[in-house]
Amino acid sequence: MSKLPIKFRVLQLINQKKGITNEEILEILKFEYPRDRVVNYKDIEYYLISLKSVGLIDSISVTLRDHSKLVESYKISDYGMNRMKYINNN
Amino acid sequence: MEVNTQTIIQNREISFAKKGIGWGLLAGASWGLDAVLMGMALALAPFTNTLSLFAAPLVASCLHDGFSGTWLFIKNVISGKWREYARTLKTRPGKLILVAAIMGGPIGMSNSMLAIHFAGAAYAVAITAAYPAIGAILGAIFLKEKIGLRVWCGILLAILGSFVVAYVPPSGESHPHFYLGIGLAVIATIGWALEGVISTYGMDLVDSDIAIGIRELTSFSVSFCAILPFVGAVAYQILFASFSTSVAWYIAAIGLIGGISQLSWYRAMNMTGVARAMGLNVTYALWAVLFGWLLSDLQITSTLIIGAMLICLGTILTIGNPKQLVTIRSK
Repeated sequence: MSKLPIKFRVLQLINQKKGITNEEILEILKFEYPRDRVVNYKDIEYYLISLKSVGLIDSISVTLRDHSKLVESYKISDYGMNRMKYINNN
Repeated sequence: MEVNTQTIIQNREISFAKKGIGWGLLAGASWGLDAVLMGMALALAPFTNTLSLFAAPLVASCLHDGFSGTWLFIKNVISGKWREYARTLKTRPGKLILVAAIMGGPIGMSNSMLAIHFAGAAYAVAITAAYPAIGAILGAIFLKEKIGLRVWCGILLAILGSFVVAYVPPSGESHPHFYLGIGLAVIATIGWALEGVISTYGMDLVDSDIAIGIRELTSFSVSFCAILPFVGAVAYQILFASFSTSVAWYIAAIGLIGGISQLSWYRAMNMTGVARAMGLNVTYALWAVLFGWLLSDLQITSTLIIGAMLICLGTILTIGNPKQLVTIRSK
């Protein structure tokens, strides 16, 4: 099966596991897309903020690790669920 | 959630919204520079060919989009995103980007050129300058974008200002196909507005840098294969002749500026919404005056100053408070 675009896969991961954190998403993507340099902390954070700002995902909780690193968990919104049809049908 | 953590999250999201506004402003400024430089390139041979009035701008636009698309592809190769082109094109949101590209590129640009030809620049520019308002209305309806009264006022002032800046008094020459020209101007306006809304909807899932890369290459391909044949053989004569002069390479350099502008515009639409991004993008009229004054023999008139002031005021109102941009849409 061909790979999904990375941002699509981020939304799919959040749909598959409610409460998944940004760190978990990054680890899964690094394994699935080993040759894609765009799979790094900064770019995946950008995708997550972008998905959140248009209302596809919501934040569940945020903790601060080592006084600097944010660990945020997410769930998919109703609007995001509606857009999953574009991912599941691919 | 601790207060400290909440503050960090809030600051991060406000920073994201501010960056979106920054991209919107850069889109307007670079598009203004692009327009001035393209105007200068169109004054060079072979674009001075008088066999067809609208062949030259359509060929120049086709070349410009081809070079912009190439620069954007190089940028995406450098940033490690090039594999996303093929992955994205297999998806439905990716195909929506293709539709948006056709709306904005071939349909928007070609009809705008034809509208100027059939109805005159005064009326064509007046109608097409309204595309941000149509985009904002469509964004509010289809994307449920939150647009307050102040932002609406800002968008309308920026449109009015760009109209004042770009307005050319009717020349008095007769236009036997005047109403056809008006109709084509309306189609161009709707095309640009639809491009914004459709691409923004697609960019909910598609990376904006890939979306604009696809947009530019699609616009080039459709123009080359479907629009230029309508103009006739003269279009291809001009296109291939441009490569035997330095003008094609000027357009290649201008295409880099155009690519930066389009990239910024798509990022702004994704980060701040269609309405604000279009409201900021329309400031290109102001920047075109500034760059035209710096790079060509454009004279600053009182009309230009009034238009520029209206655009500045409109932009300030459109930007508003970035704190309100953390969530772009109503739930």
